[in-house]
Amino acid sequence: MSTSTTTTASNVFNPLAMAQYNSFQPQIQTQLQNNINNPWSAMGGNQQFANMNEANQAQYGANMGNSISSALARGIQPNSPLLASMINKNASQYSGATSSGYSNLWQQAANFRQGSANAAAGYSPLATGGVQKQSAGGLGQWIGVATAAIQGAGQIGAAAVA
Amino acid sequence: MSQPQLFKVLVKLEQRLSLNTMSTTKTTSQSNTYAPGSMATYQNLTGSGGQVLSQNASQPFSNPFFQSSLNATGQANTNLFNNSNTALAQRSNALGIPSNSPFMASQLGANQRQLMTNQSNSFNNLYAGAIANRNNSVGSMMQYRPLQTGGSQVQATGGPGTMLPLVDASIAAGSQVAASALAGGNQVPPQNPTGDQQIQQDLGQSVGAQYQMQNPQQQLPNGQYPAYPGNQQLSYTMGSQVSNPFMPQGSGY
Repeated sequence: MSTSTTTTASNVFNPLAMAQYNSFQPQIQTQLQNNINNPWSAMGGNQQFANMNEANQAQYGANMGNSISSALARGIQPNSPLLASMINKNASQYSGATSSGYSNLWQQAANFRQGSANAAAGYSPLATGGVQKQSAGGLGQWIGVATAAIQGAGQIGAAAVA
Repeated sequence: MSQPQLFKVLVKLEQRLSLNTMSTTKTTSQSNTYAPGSMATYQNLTGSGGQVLSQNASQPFSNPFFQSSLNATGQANTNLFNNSNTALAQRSNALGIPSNSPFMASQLGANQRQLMTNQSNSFNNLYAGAIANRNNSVGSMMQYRPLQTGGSQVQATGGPGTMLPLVDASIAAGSQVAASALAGGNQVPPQNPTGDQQIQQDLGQSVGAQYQMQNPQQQLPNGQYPAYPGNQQLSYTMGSQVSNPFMPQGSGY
């Protein structure tokens, strides 16, 4: 003989905004999961590396030209070991710059992946409402009924005796 | 039964009925609802995001992505080293420098040192990044909260105190029956006294006296109080002949 009360709450949203929201969710999921699973390709790692490499090669070529011009201007023969050493140093410089840039790009990919993982873990679904149920039971709730019944019986008994 | 006796009976009953058998239990349960599309997104993302955070936190250097990064940079450095050696050999050959000359050995050694420098820098770079991402992942994991889908609350009220109304009513009813029997049915007190009747019983005074006590400003010069008008309808119409007990006689009210 328990009593129960059910309260249902439902949130209402602007239909256009809700449609926009619904269209965003699959994109969010796709993008974040792609960033997590393929961060290098998701951030365009190959393209970034190509751009960086192009800049490094241009710098390397310029350094080579300067070295040769400087050596020739000073009467250093093009086939001299000195010029060959200078050229090789330029090549090492290019190698170091390219290596550093490449590892930096991989670190960027790791950070990119980390950020997407944080966003994925922090995603919350849209709350649209809730249901609350209240129920009461136990013998204690009969105290009021029993009290009234006993009072009524007492009054009837008193009236009968009178 | 006198009041002290009734009180003793009440106390004994309360002691006897100290079992918590008359409790009341209220249960409140709450369930939250979410947009189905976003809930599906949540279930997919919380799994993949949680896996990455867990990997970065517990295996910062052995997780697959770190290993992939390390392999890619190592391979790139090796390629750069090979390219440098190839270019050096081509130039030396064009210049007529013997491949077994001390100069070539020196240049190849320089390329080798550059490879080591590149590998070291790449590893340190990725290593520092993995440490930073590990801390970042731990921070995110600490802030992570599960999605609340509902809850329940149970309130229980019990104890002998909850019995008092029932015991009180029972004794009162029994007393009424006993009093009626003893009085032979002629002296039964009113079952539900009105407010005025209760005041009369409590103070042993008339309602008029009660009224006078609450209105001392109406005391007459001779120290007496005017009679309580009871249910008499007073008229304050100008010129009315109905006497107003609170005004001097013949005042016209």
